[in-house]
Amino acid sequence: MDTYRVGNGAQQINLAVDINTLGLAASRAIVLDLSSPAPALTVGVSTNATGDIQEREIGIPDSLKNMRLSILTKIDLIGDQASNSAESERLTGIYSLNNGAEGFKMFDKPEKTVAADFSSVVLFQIIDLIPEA
Amino acid sequence: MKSAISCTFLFLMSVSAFSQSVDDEVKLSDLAVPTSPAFIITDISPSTFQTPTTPKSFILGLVQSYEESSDGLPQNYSAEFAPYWWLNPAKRNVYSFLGIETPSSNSADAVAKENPFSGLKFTTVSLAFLRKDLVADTLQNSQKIVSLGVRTTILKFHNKKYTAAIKAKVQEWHALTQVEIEAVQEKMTRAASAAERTELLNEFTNFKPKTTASKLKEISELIAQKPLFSWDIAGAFATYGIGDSTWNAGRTGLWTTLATYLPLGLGEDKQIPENYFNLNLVVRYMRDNYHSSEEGRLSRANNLDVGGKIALEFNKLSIGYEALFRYVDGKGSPQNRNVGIINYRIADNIYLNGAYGENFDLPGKLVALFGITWGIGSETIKLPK
Repeated sequence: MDTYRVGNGAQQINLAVDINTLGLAASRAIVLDLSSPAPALTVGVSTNATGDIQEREIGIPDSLKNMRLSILTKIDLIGDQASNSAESERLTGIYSLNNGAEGFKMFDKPEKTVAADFSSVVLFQIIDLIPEA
Repeated sequence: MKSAISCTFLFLMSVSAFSQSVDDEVKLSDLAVPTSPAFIITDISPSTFQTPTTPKSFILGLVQSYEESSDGLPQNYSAEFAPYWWLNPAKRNVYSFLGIETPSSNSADAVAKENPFSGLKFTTVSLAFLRKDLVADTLQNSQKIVSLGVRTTILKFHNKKYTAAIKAKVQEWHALTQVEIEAVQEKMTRAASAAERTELLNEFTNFKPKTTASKLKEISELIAQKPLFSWDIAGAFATYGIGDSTWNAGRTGLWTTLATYLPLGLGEDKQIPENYFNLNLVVRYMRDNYHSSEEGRLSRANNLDVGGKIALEFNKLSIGYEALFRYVDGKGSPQNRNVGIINYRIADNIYLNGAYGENFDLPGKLVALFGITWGIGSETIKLPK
């Protein structure tokens, strides 16, 4: 499981998502407390079909520590099956967090799930936000 | 009146899934610039080529085929790729694929503009190493062949409504997909185990809601809309290894097509034209240094074809006329092509084709062709390599 040490400062933690695909992509980032039934808080959404989430503040360390951040991206591929198969292999998602105790940290190995007919791909990245060790 | 008239009826049923015809001159759609010129010029089947997505995978493919080789050349290796995506992969997104400006995150409603030169970045390079007998002599010896080709769309643009319509549909898809994601994301995030999460992800990935499926269909139909104007060019060169150390120029080909599709009305949804007036202008040059002459001798063929096509396309029916005038070694030739063509789409993947007129290989003779082309799968869009 990927983790990020948010630290104890008063500064905002920043999140950015960069989806690299020729397909149509939509992304959403949420944080939630696994030990609480309280609903998840949406901290970022893509604004167009690039699926990218421009760098944005998602909260201060105190509000984020011990929370789980998840970013889910749905990609629909619009080529023929052979093209989609190749594109499903090469498309990537890069996620970065900044301003925490670990400074800038990049995550580039999301869980990738490809539809049986290669028409859709889902990228799922989970990052547990932990306080300063 | 022609000195002789011969009519040949040919019933041709060919199953062609994602493949192209590569040989013979009597084809009903041979006025298009080939997508893989290096393969076309060497008459090889494009179904066997690789599409390396990174320089690393390209080199790996070359090395692997080289290891299987005994003559110092990669063995039967063919590849096609767009170098732009190797050099600038960060720019890959659906808007760059569609050739429209990426909407700014601060102005989602801004007017989208089409980039008429967007096709340049999809310039593809095709490359082939093979062993084949392309020398038209009586010997059945295969030569080492190295072939290189390039293809690009220099200019392409649609009508003004196209960009706005496609941007709106893409944005609608985005909004619908956000709702889908919202419905499942928290459950996935709270999954008690990796196995449970994987199951949820599989279910979500393979789920096809009608709303987004319908939007994707509309987007695909818009993408398939023919441009008002396009200019394609392609070139290829093949060199033959004759003996162990001699390399000679074999075949050279250059193609260019200027095409215009003028809409004659809108389809049922009042957004996408279904009927077009099509005018193509074509110039192609083919040189084969190892051609078989009519007398069966090895000779050089040096052909320049100039012509075009005019057609009316009504949804399922296309009626057109093709004329190509051949110049052999710079001089006019009786080998011309004047063919009336009719295509009718019987079903999604079944086409009835007919052609009547004279073709290059039978100057002065009338030829009639009649056939059915049967494809597998729906009409699809190819993503750039």
